[in-house]
Order: sequence, then C-alpha cells, then structure tokens
Amino acid sequence: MLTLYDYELSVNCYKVRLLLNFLSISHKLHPIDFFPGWEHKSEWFKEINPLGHIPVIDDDGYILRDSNAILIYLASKYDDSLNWYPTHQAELLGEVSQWMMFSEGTTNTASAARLHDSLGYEFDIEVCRSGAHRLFRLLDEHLWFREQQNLGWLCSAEYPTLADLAIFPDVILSEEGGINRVSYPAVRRWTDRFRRLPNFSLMAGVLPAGTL
Amino acid sequence: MGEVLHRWHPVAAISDLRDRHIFQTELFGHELVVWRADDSFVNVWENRCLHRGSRLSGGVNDGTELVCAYHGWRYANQTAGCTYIPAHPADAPSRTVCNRVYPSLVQDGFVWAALELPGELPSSDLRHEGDPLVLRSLPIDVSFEEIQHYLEDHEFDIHLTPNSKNTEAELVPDDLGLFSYQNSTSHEMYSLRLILQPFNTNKTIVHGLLSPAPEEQDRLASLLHYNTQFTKFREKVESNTFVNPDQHLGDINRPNDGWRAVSLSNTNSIEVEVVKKWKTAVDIVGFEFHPLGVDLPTFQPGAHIDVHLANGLVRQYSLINGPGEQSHYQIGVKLEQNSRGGSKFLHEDVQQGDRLTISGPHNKFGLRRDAPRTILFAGGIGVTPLLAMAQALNRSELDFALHYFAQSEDHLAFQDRLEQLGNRLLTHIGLGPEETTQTVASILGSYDYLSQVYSCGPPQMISAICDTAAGLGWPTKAVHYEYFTNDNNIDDSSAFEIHLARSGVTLSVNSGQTILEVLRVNGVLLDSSCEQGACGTCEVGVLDGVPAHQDVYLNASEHEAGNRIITCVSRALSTQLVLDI
Repeated sequence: MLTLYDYELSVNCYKVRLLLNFLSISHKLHPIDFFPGWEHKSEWFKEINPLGHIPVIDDDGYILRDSNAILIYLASKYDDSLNWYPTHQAELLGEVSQWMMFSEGTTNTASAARLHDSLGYEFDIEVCRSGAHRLFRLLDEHLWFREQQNLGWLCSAEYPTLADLAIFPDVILSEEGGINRVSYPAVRRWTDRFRRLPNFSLMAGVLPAGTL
Repeated sequence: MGEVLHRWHPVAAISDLRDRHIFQTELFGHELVVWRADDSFVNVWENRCLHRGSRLSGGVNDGTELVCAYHGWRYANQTAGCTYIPAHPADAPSRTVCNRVYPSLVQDGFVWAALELPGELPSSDLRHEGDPLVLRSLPIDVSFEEIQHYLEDHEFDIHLTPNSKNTEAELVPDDLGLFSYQNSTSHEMYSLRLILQPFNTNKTIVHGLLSPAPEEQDRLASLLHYNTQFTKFREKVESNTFVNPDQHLGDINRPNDGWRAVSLSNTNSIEVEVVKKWKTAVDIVGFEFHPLGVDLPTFQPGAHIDVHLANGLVRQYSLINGPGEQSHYQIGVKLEQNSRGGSKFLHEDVQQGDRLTISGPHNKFGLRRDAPRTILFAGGIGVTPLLAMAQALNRSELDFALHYFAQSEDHLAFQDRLEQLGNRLLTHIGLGPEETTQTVASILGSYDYLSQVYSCGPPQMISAICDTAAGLGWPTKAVHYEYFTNDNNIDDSSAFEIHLARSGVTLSVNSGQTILEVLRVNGVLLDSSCEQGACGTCEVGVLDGVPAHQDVYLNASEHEAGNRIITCVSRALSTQLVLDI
C-alpha cells in the first residue's frame, strides 16, 4: 500500500492527493503535525526525508520526496492513458516540463504568501505577492489565447496534464495569501474547468465549481 | 464624476461568460458578478451574498440560479431574488431579500453596465461597420484619470492584418469617453476603439474593438498583435505612474542617516544638541533642540520638558512647537531676576552646539478641542504653552483668541509664530495688575457654557484670573491654568503613613521626606518633573485619608474633593493616606 506523509493544509501535499484521486490509486495518508508541531522537522521524519519537507510517499518501500517528482512517478507508473505525463510525445512532454518548472515559481510566490499569512512564515510578503501577480499575468495571457484556440489546458493537448495539476493548487488558494484573481479572468475560468474534472478532490479553502 | 456614473461601461466580454462561469470584476470600486444563465440572460449583480456578505463569485452558477458557496443561499436568474435559504428549509425567503441588480445590456461583444441609470450607449454607431473583433481586455494598475492622459500621448502600432502596412494614427477621445483610431486608406477602412472600464481608483481595464473584424485566418494574429501592443502600453504606463509633486512639500524631510526609532525606555533621558539659540524678546531667549540618534517623542500642545543642566539643575520649559513640528523641540527661557541658577545658566552658559539631556514631554496642561470657543490668557513668558495651543487651535480652525499681556512690544516673544495667528492674537501692552484684571473680566463676561479658559503667567496673574472667573460664575472645570513655580512655603514637618492600595504596602513618611521620595526609595517609580508642586506630573489618586495640599497644580475644588494628591509637596492631615498605586 502506498503511504503519503501528508498535511491537510499543505499546497504541495494537495497536489499529490489530487493525482492519487484522479488515478484512483489506493493509498493511506500518514498525517504529519506540520503546524504547530513541526513534526516534519523531527528526527524520525528526517530519516525519511533529510530535507524535512513534505510531501513524501512510501510506495511499498520506494521513498520519494518533492511534489513534482512524486507526480511524475505516480503518473508514469499508474496512468495507463499516459495523458497526465505524456512520455511518448516529446513536444508535449517538453511543454509539461516547462509548466512544471513554472509551478516552482507559483509555489515560491503565491503559496509562500499563503504560508506568511496563515502560518506566520517570515517571508517578504510584498515580494511574494508582486511576484505572484507577475506570474498570474503570464498565466492569464497564455490561457486566454488557449481559449481563443478552443483549448482549455496549459499544454497543447485536449486533456489536462501534470502542468495544470502542479499549478492549480497554488492558484486556487492564492486568496489565502492576499492575492486576488479578479484581474485574471482566463485563469478563473481554467480553475472552473479543473474543478469540474472527474474524481477532483477538494481541500480546505477550495470550493466546488458546480457542474455543467 | 456624476456624469461618468451614468455612463455605460464595458464590464465583461461576452466570451468571458462561457461554461456557467461566474465572472468577477469591479466598476468604480463596486464589486460585480456577471453571469450568464442557460437561457442566455446575462446578469450583472453586486458581488455579495445578502446573508454574510461573502462574494458570490466564489459560488456556483447552476444555469438558473447563483448559489453562495458558504451557506447555500440561492438567487434567481434575472431578478436576483433569493429563492431558498438552506438553514430555513421550511420557509420561503421574504420577497425583500433581493440582490442589487445593475443596469446592463449586451452589445458589440461586451456586457455593458452602469452604476446609475445610464444614458446613450457609446458604441451604438459601431454596428454599421460590421461585427467587430473583441480584443483581449487588459487590466492596468493606473487610475481612470491618468490612463486617459497616457492614451492621448501613446502611439499604437495599428494594422489590421499582419501583412498590412503599419499606420500611425492619432487616438482621438470622443465626448463619451471612447478613444478611437479612425483610419482609412485606399485599400482598407477600419477603426480601433479603446473603451475604458474604471475598475477602482488604482486600476483601469482597457477594452478594445477592431472593426470590421479581420478574416478568420488572420484573427489570432490580430489578437496577438494588439495584445502585444496593449501589454507594451501597460509596461510603459505602470513604470511611469505620475507622482504629483505636492506644492506644500519641499525636499523629503527625513534624516540622511537612515531610520530612527523613538526609544521608549529613554523618554526621560534624551540627548539633544542645541542647534539654535536666539534672542526673541527682552530677556527671552529661544532654544531649538535636535535629537541625537532617536526621534523625539510625540508632544501635545501644553506639554513641557525637563532640561538637565550641566550645573546639576533640572528645569521645566513648555514646548512652543506647532502641531506636527516633530523634528525638533523649541522652548523659550526668560532670564529671571532672582534666578536660582537655571535661567541664568541657559542664558549665559549654554551655547549653540552644546549637548544637553532633556526628558520626554510631560503634559498635565492638556488642551480640550471640543469647546466651541477657547480663550487663552498669557502673561509674559507664560505665553509658551499657550502659543503651542494657539497654533494647534489655529491649524484645526477652531474658534479661539490668544490674549497676550506684556510689558512692552519688545517683550512679545516668538513674533514669527504670533504673526501666523492673525487676528486671533490680541496683545495687551503695559497694563498694571488692576487694569489686567479689568481687561480679563471684560473678555470673560459671564459664563457662557461654551468656552474653555487657559491661562499661564506670573502666579499673581493666574490667581487673579481664577478669582475673576469664579466671581463671574465660571466653574473651575472651565478654567485651566499652569503655574511655572509654586510660591507656597512648603511645610514638610508632619509625619504620617501611606498605604499603597494596589501593592498592599504600608510605608512611613517622616518629617523632612516627601511622599515621592519615600515611594522612590521603596522602588515605586513614579514619573515626576518639577518636584515643587506646580506641574502635576507626580499626581496620584487618594482612596482614603485627608490630604494636606501644598501644590498649585490642583484647583480649589480638586483640593476640596481630596481624591488626588501631588506627591512631591503635599502631605496628610490624617494619620494615614491610602493611595491608588
């Protein structure tokens, strides 16, 4: 059985939970007392991940850390459709990788602002917020032109990929870091589409979009 | 502004409303939701649930109703009336529960809305040119007013198709707030219209229409081209946002050596430099102190500071600063003929460039600002705290008069500050004691229930003013004063006990000791300043026992009430005083 070392309010853990549910992978959650217990910095947990970060998965003894790495592993191993991580299509795979790199930026700005506001992390909040707005502008422009081509997702495919999955949680929770999305209408519509996917899972702070 | 509220503004492109989306925007800071129901009706509502004020944009558009995400209140398409409240499942919501609906219409690819009942639709003349192409709208973080200036100066690279010739055309605003390029060449006739949506005070959305729309194969290229143009415009505008020079400000007044902080723990010991010393009137010298390393603490009009002198003396002087004058303190010092060493030392020995230690401001001579009229009586050097008050009242445009009694014109201090008071300043020159009292009486008249009186000057003058006011029916609560010195002969021969109610300690005050000294020796730190019963800084409350007042700070009725004591001079008639400390 696959185990996810998890914290309910963590954006990066949510990314992994989303994919576990999209792919209906049976798993169990091992809750980590991230706040206020700092259990991810405890001795026992550092033996699992010396960086003291979550998420970490333990797939029958195979231990992997970092949400993007975990997403790639899970999609490659469990997604028979090869849609989420299209290893057989070089150009599409390149796009997916590019936007997964972009997700590092949204995590370090939008989700950092959220950690500052909700858990008291000592980040420069103005730098986090203005950085997030800069990235959201790019995202909105990109997604608006996808819509003009009747494409709904970040990459050149008719289905969502790990690129969408890796960025969606940073975006949908951005208001908890004081970053509103009113100026990003195409991004807002993309979050509607993502929330309407089959087997989409919610977390605290993420509301359902309703059905079509 | 009134006109612009009645104007139609685009608030969303039709293409924004696909797939049961709830579009979110603002118009003049009013938060809106724009949503299309399955019957194609477009709703423009306030973005608030009537229940708890949550934004409806976080909810669900089910094709017929908008459902708030939080407690499930449902609002009907078209009417915005509430149809269901889950917490009251058996009750039909009252018909008065209805969201705010804005005037709106759909035309030329946009949803248009207005805050007030609108007039003519600005783009109604577009349709004869064929269906326009709606460009990507771009939010720009600049106000509606500013962006219009930028648009008038900006040159867009205008062309209809990637292959057509670039044209530079002037952008012309029309009287309905549209900016348009009208261009016609021998081959092409087209126009670019820019329409501004005033989002809020800091943000404007630029909407664009290109008409006629280009051929389908050029559509995406045109959209990309104008998006690039608009984005370049946004970069230029946002990096150039006007900073309106404020005529009232010179260079930014901030020390060059970085940020300073008020050191709260040291407010009774602040190192200052004498930056200016000047003669301002006969026998009166002004001093200006600048802080070394920290900002000076906030003062209020009427406040005084302790000045520690190199000869070991500590003297109190009122600040003459006007409101907001925080970068330095100014005081006025009169050379007393019978100087015990304070004023003489300041006049003769303290020079520009010297360093002194001062306390933070003490203020037991506070200025009320809720009186319809304020009368200030200043005698000689007693003008100093009243000058600070007069400047504060003047700045707040409150009704007041400063009556300044002086021996001669040459005895009037701080002329530059006095001049700013205009006709609020009334000088009374060379009057003897009786004339002064008569003048005060005629100014006061009988008590009018409106005025507050403040006086400061020689002790005889203050006493005379208090007596005169009392004789005219003025209550003590309307007559405030501050003595610089306490001329009473202090009798410290009695012995008694003090019980400190809050700490439960009982202490003995022997003859020759003051209450203040006994408290200090026993570790009870009480703020003090003049230590002669004049300034009131060391006042404490009395819960039981009878005080023997020797101060000049409390007035007669306060002395009689017996529930406060000035601990540096006053003692007890009873064997014990219970103090509220």
